[in-house]
Amino acid sequence: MDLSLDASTLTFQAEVRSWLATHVRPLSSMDTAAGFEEHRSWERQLASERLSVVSWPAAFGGRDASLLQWLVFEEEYHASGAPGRVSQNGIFLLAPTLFAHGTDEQRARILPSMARADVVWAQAWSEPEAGSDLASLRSTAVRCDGGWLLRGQKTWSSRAAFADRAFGLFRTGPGERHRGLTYLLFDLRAPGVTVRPIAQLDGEPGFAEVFLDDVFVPDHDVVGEVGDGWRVAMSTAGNERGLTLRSPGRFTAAASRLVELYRKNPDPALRDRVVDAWIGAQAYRLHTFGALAAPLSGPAASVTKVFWSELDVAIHETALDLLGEVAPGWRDGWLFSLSGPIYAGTNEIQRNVIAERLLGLPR
Amino acid sequence: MMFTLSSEQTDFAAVLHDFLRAGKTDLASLGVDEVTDPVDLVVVFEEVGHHAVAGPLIESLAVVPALMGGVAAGAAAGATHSVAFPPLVPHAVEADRYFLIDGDTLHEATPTAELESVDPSRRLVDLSPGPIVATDVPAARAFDLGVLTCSAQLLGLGRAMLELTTTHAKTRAQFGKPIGQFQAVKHHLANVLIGLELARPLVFGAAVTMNSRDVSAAKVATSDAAWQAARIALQVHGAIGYTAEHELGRFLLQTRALRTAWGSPSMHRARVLEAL
Amino acid sequence: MTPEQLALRDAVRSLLTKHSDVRAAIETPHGYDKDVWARLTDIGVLPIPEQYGGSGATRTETHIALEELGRTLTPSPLLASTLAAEALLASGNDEACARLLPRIADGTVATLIWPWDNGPASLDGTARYVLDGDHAEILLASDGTGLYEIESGARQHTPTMDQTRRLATVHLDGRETHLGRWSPEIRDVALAALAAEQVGTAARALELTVEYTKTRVQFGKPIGSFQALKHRMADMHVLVETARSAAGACTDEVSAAVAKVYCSEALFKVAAEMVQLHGGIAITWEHDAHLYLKRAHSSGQLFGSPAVHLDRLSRLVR
Repeated sequence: MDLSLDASTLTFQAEVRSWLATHVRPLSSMDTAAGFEEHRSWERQLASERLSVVSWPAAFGGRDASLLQWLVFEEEYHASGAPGRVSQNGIFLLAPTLFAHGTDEQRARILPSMARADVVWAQAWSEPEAGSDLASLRSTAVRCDGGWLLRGQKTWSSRAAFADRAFGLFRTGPGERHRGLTYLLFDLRAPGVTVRPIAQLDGEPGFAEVFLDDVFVPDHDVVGEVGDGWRVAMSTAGNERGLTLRSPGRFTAAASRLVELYRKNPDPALRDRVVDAWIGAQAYRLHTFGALAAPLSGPAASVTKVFWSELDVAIHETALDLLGEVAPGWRDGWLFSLSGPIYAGTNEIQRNVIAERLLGLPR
Repeated sequence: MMFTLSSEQTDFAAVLHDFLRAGKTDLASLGVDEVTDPVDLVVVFEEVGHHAVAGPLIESLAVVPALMGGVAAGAAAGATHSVAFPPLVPHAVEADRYFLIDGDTLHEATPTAELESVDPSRRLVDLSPGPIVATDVPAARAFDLGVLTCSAQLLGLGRAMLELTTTHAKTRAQFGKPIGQFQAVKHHLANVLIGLELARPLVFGAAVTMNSRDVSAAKVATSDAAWQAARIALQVHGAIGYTAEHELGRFLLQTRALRTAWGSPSMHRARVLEAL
Repeated sequence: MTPEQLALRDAVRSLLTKHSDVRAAIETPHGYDKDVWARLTDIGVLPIPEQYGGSGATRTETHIALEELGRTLTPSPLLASTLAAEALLASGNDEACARLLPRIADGTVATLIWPWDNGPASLDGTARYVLDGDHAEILLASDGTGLYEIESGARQHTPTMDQTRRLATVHLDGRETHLGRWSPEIRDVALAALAAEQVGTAARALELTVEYTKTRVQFGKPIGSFQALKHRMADMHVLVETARSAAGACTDEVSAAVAKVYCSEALFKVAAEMVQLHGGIAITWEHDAHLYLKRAHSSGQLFGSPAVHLDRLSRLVR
């Protein structure tokens, strides 16, 4: 067992740290039109240094960085107080799917513009009657000349209020539930698309409903095989639940801020919770280092999803309990943390997965 | 970076597991008394916990050898050692030979009174100091090794109780189906697994760095995870788990005792905060 | 509850069902619906004796009304006016009672600035988190020993996370009239009143959650039929009912502090579970779950956080 960083990783770490130290600046909320564009230009600035997608191949705008280097990047990124990633859905959900199931043509066409945030992607999984039970989705894609026509309604579509394109699952039949689904990409500004922003807890439109009325999707925007969408999507869902969407750097940075906050506002009644938050972030960090050597299975990703989402709530609630209701610098994070146990598969569903697939309890 | 066990280490854990499962106790015959590397000690003690082995193993195999600079006088003959670090470790577990730490000074010690632990399989004694054995001993590192191996033991105990309970939930039927099919039971066991899975890397991380902050963090996390495993195990077993005949009790009681042995969770939280 | 108390509860509930629109109220200049407030004072929910122009309602009736307001999160000056009236009644100044209480009973908004820790406080400086402090016409203040009527300097609304509770910053400028003595028991009265309101909020949050889980279908059945959710709502029910007991048992300093701590924590847990069990819909602005959650958080901090009162309890209980 060895936790030391090799020379090239240390060099990379130093470069990232010094670049961030001189470039990080506060941006407006990405859930406003102006803030969204500020975040887009921040992504472009990252991309110009090839720092927006460090783990991708150089051909697509990355640096071929190892997973360890990606983790180091994330630690530095969050520790520097850099802004949230508006391209997150594309980079962490769609891109891994394209690497696994896409064609060379799709990768060449889609990934570079994603890395530069010229195209920002939204996810379009859930429907009003298909949340935890995603396989009950009803939106359809009907064969037409040269492609498909999408009909139906998607909801909780993160970033869709201002994003350019979206990815999701559609029923292409035949078959029920997990069968007969296809993974499709579509343009949020195509004829037939209506986006209705949904205001989230803080009143800003972080997500949206998307109404689709005969929206044309060309054949080259089908990812994987027609009818194989469930399998294709589940590889993405694993990414969302597991390591890639929530790198430990996010939590180690928040836990360090919490410890600083406690030092300024010491309250003995909250001491244990502060320490446990720090320990939890450290546990998640080390757990991730372990996963570098032996990648997590899908169900094992459920373990980390429950853990990080509840850790995030615990960190933020402890901060609010230290500060009271005037909690500058913590409020938005707190509100966002509350969605963690819900999205990417509720924690109730994750616990079923853990019990049935890791412990072998009967369905 | 390679934060995972080597195949030699996982093989050794498997050998230990089979050995202990067969009811054998002479760990020295496997060369366990020669283990000094903290990561290897964690491997050993996770299995010790996994089988709820009783006795002064932390003291004999990890702490006293560290204090004596690897010259575990008398240990080769199979004699057990025990040591107290007042005030954090005020009592010693019953053994053949006793020591007491005062600052960086190691004393011989004699037992003065027997004390009752919450775990009847742990016999504790009060000590009074005798002649000085050595000065300038690495007391801080020895204490941290005690905390680390205790954490590893708690991890093993927790894993054992999760295994026992999962097996029980698959076989015990109520309302015409295995109780493991009920969502409430599933979620309980999922929580136990999450707690243990995320405590484990803290224990190995502490073994790599061997700094007090990381060792304390491991002890806090394993104490909570293992005790959660014990409570859920008892709840899911129902009345049968409460009986003296059932083996769960052995694991549960040892977990409760080790949770506060080698420093309470509160003391270790304070130590983490101090180091941050 | 007596038949009269049940009738009062039904009257308030029916008033709020018909007329309370929380989102419209928080957009009004003073953050509450004056018509609803006028109707409430007509029902007679302020604890003001008949001799001072009041309805003769006791604290029990006031708590019933506060619990109803807590259920719907209706912004209302009732808590502020109640505390001002209680402080006046305890002041021992009949003239002041006769002059001010009839106005309060008629709906003139009154509020009270008081040191939550009952310690000495300056009447020259800035008072924060004053209930309805920006628009109250009658402003009373305590320095920890006496009760005063205040001519305040500048005051302004302090927006907080919880828009359903109007708070303000008041700049005291030392112009005050001494009215009488300050009774430290007012703190216990305040904590008990707040606890009653918190119980209403928690109870309604649970009801809304149960209703939702009965109608939301996933995997072919209402999600409320899943055991994991049933158990959590059962735990919420236990919290609500024990909180109700704690709120109802406020008879002295210790029990009022217990109620404050217990009801704050229970409400916070229930509101957090409300969000989780509603899933994505709870994270939207349109749904009321976030209003419950924010109210839970702000009520926990009002009149001192649970930690502050726990610390006090540790010294009170021997």
